[in-house]
Amino acid sequence: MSIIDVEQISFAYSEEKRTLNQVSFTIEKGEWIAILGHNGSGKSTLAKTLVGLLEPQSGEIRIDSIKLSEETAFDLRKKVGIVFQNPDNQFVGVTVRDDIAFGMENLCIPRDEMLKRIEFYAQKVGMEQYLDKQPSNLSGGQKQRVAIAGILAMRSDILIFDEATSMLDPYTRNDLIRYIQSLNQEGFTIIMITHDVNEAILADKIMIMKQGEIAAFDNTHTILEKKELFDENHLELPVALEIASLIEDIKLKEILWEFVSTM
Amino acid sequence: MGIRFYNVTHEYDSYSKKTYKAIQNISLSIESKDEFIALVGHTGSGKSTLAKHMNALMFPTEGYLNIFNETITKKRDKKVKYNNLRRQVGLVFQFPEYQLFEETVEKDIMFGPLNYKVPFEEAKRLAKEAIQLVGLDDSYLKRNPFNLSGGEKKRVSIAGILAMDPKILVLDEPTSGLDPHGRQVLMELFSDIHRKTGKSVIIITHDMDLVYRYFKRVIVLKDGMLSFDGSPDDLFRSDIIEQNHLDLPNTVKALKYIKDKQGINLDIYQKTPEEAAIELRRVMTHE
Repeated sequence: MSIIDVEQISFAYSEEKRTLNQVSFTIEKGEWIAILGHNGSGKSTLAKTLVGLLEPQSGEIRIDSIKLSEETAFDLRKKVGIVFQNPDNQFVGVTVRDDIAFGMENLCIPRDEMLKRIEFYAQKVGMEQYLDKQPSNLSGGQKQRVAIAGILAMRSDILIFDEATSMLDPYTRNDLIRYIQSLNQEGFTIIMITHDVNEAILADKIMIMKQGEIAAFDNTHTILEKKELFDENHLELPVALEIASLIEDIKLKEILWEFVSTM
Repeated sequence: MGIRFYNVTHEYDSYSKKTYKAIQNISLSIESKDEFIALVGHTGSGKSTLAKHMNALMFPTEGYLNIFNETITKKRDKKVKYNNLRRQVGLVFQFPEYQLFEETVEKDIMFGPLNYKVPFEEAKRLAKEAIQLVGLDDSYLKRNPFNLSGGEKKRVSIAGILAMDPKILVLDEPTSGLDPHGRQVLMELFSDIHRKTGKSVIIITHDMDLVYRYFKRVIVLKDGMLSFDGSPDDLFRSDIIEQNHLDLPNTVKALKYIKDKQGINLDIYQKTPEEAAIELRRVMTHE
């Protein structure tokens, strides 16, 4: 069953250039999609249209079969949570606790449940020690973890991470990714916009964007086999596959592919 | 000369009245020339706090620093020429592009030098030099910074610091938000600036592939304390990585996997995929 249907959407910030040009795709419920593409390829704009923050000039988006429009955007936002790259732009609370609560307050979640979720998700992102601290005193990566906890606590069916892990250290990031994996197994639909191919390879499917269009959208393994696609788009292959492309030994190549699948 | 930390601690007051030490008892030395240092550690390990002490943007709550012969202690000292030392140590924050504000790139770059009473024509010349140093041509000087791409904005804001001709350049995660290609281009740029000018460069980063490929020295912070200070090679060959839950570079990880799996005698400490491929070929011809 599809949960997101995008049909022929176009969006332009100015008249000269379309940031999104006739983009169409379908995402099934419970899928994990990674979106790759270099800066300016339209990835973030696409994410903003999916949550109704930007309205495409043409085309249609349906979330769970409901057409996204001014009238439905408020309700549909409950189904789609998004975390942006720079956490400084998304803080509202006086304390970390308030901040995690904010999204849930908008969903009218009962207080008891809210308090439980704050503790639970703060722990999930390793910020349980910081609940009474002011967000402004936290480091960039810590702020990002708080923003992520706030979104997770809303338990939206669809979670979009717009380069949300780029400011985390590898350890915190791995922890979070493992948690996202478990959410995905529970049936949550995950869309991850990322520059990090090591993160993208965990997805069921990879979409590569180029100048506002979809250059490729296929199963992860199929995409990874197309080295030229990565070269053309200034994207990096996982280092292990880069090494594999430089050697001849079949057995070693196989082991490197196997290594990538264990990541 | 340069920057010396002597048992520096910085304690923050927090909202709940509890205090915590962002950095603790740090002693280290950074020369004013020829350093290329990566500063690594987890989020909240104190990297940014440490960086902000390097040009006296923050003061230690215990211990003291010596920055270009000025002594920095707990209290602001009227005798210390802060302006002077801040010119010697240029600090570039995370997402510096948010600090652009002038209507042309040229004005933005000139802002710093003019602020330090550099004559107008001289500031103009510095702006021209700086824009070239960050790999953009003169035509950018007349452009509006807000119409530039993310990567270009980053370069312009870095040019603004370079125009003050600091001896030491400190950059807090300068490549965050860039795609891998942009990241590599920017790293080449820093390494180039370092080679051409001999300026010391200190970069906060999480990217161990970059640390291994580009840096001469790496400083690791853990819970505000100094946990390692030495060469990347020594770091990755030591057990500090595991103790600190830090990542190995991806080349090393991939080669380690092959080594363990095949039981072949492989030197896993290779910096690039190309070097890794050469090592693998070498081993296979001997097998």
